[in-house]
Amino acid sequence: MDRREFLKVAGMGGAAIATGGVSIGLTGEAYAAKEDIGQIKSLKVTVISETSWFNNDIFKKDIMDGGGTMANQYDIAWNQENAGGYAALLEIEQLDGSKKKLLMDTGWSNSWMDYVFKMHGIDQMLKKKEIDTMILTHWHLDHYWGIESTLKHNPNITIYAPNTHYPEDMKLLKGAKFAKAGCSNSIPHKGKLVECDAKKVHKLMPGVAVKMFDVPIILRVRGENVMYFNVKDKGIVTVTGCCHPGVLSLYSFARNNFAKGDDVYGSYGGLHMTLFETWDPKFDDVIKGLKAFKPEKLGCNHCTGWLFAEKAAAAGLPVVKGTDKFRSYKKVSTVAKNNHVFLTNGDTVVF
Amino acid sequence: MSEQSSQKNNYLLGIATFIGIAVLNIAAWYLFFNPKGVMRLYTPMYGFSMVVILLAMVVTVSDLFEGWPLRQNAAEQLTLVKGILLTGIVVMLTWVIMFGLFHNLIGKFGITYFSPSAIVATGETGTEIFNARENSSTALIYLFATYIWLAIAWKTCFKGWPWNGQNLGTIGFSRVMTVSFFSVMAYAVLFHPHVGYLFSPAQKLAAVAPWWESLADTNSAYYHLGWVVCTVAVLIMSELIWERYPWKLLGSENGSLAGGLFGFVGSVMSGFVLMYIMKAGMVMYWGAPFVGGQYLDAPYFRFLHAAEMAGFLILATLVVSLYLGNLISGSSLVVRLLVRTVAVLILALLFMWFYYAAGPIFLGTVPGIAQPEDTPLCWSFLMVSFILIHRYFFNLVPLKSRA
Repeated sequence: MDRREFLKVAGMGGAAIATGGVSIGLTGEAYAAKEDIGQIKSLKVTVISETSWFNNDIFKKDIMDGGGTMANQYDIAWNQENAGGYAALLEIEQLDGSKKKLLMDTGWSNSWMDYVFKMHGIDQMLKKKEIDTMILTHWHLDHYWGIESTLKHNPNITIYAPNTHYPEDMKLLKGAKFAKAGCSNSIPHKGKLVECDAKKVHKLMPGVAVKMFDVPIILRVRGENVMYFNVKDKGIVTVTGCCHPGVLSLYSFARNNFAKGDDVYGSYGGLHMTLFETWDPKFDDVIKGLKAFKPEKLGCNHCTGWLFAEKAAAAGLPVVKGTDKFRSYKKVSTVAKNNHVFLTNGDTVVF
Repeated sequence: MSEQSSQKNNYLLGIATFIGIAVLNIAAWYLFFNPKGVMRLYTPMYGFSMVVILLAMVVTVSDLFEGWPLRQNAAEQLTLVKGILLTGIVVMLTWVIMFGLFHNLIGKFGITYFSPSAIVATGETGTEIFNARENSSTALIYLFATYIWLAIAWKTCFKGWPWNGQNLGTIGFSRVMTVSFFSVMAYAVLFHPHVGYLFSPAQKLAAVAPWWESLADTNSAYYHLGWVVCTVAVLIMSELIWERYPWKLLGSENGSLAGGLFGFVGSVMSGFVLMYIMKAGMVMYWGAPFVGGQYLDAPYFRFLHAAEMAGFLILATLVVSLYLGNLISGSSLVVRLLVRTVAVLILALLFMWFYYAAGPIFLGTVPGIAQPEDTPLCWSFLMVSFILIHRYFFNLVPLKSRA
């Protein structure tokens, strides 16, 4: 440890010692120079499924019965009827007009994911290798446990995932069954697994980057991959599964580390706010902070919570309106409303 | 046996005794709170509220009543039987106050948010039993943290004033009534606005919007929790390792109004200073927080973390004072205070390391810092409760009384 590092540690009372080796890749992490991640022409996001579960009360009861929010997700007896999943199709148009499709996350319940993949033609895209890369945002059940639904169509798919996995996560990827938790995968992954660490920005193609933020998350999970897009003439767009690190921390990271990173254009995905439709004064802080960054497009769903989206829209933030397409799905969330502040199942947004 | 050898044996016995208390604590944690344990009550606010109320009851019996009615005067030693009885009393009081007084009386017939079932009964957005229990527990944590602060402040700064000469029972009841009165007042101003805004719609007719937002860059009352716990740390360090300096510079042995006010105002100011020193350290390490930031970037987390570090300081102070005999008794006042303070800081860092690095193994917590569902305050307050029970109710057996 050099003198400067020692002083930093001593100055904050030993937090570095105390974190037990967990590096937190947020503002304290500085890159030597701002990275130019390039540009894309446009990004279209299709919501394959944002309903990770359909009934909040059942989901919370499962967590509480299983030991609370810090319990191991593989040790909880989940109600299988309540399982859905989170996944999105990302269609990127490069500056030269070429197009590329990426899958973000693979949901939870295989039966639900098979249903929504078929509905959106994802199964065929995987089979035809139109989709050859999946970004796994994090190892939470509702983003990962539906892995078989992807691998059954393309076991050789390249996966970018946080390197903060547990042995159970790897077992599932290689093919395993967890009876108590009710998850299984019978198709071993044969493709490339890119393990993302918090110290590196992975550039997938010009204008597209993945950054892992090593943050502690409920249900014993750690770390989340965030996708950054730099859209020509618009600016930075973040695409997230749950956005556990915090949307403003993502903007702050872009501002501090990417060339022209202070031009924030917008966000898509779960923003991890009123997950269970309950308020907290700290969310008022987020709305105030978001207004200061002045994003132009906020496409939110999933763990953002309808309540937060409503209040953000009411506060004048540019929340993208959704449609009623989700009502044509065979299952609908019990907290869904008619005010269209969510991008729900079947909706699209273009940045 | 030489004096040096005897001293060494005292340290070893002290350390061994503390380790015994820590083992008991981890066993209790496993039984009640560990996410992989038996009852799994650390959700986190539900379990945390139980710990805070337990600590408040321990402080009530030990500091405000000084063991009365089982102890007739402060100098009298407590026995093992009395220790068990007093421990039973504080556990029972915790249960009665939390479930009887707040969940089923005040919550159901007065202030809704103190009762999970009363919150659920409103049928408002998000008022499901788990969130209701967490919100109700948050309110209880704030209320009893305020009570603990004022109880310790009264005992340290005002002592027996203005009831000196009365018997312990009279003094105890008078202190409890006074501390309770001021706790309700302080809670209403410092924490109630946060709890009122935990719901949607915000309870605007019952609670003002968090008025400290422009001061703290957050609407969260963690701002107040930060300086309150830091103030408690200053008071306990002063009482146990700084030989009651600086408050004894103005005030009598039995307490006085002037001395009490000097100590109270001075300790609050010191608490703020300590919190902002810690905050500055965090800025050095993590960079500046910003409005709306989350995890490490959140202003509210920085204040909470100041409280968490103050919790480790309190714990370390108790260990240095009670189990290590304050380390040094000769030499000059400055040297004594300096040696003890440095020892407390080192020990606090060790406790911090234990919680964050070894916690996932021994306490079932999740690796990492700033986990929203985890605060080390719960574990450190439980440890403090165990140590105070050991000190006041069991006379630090098997150690000689150094209290």
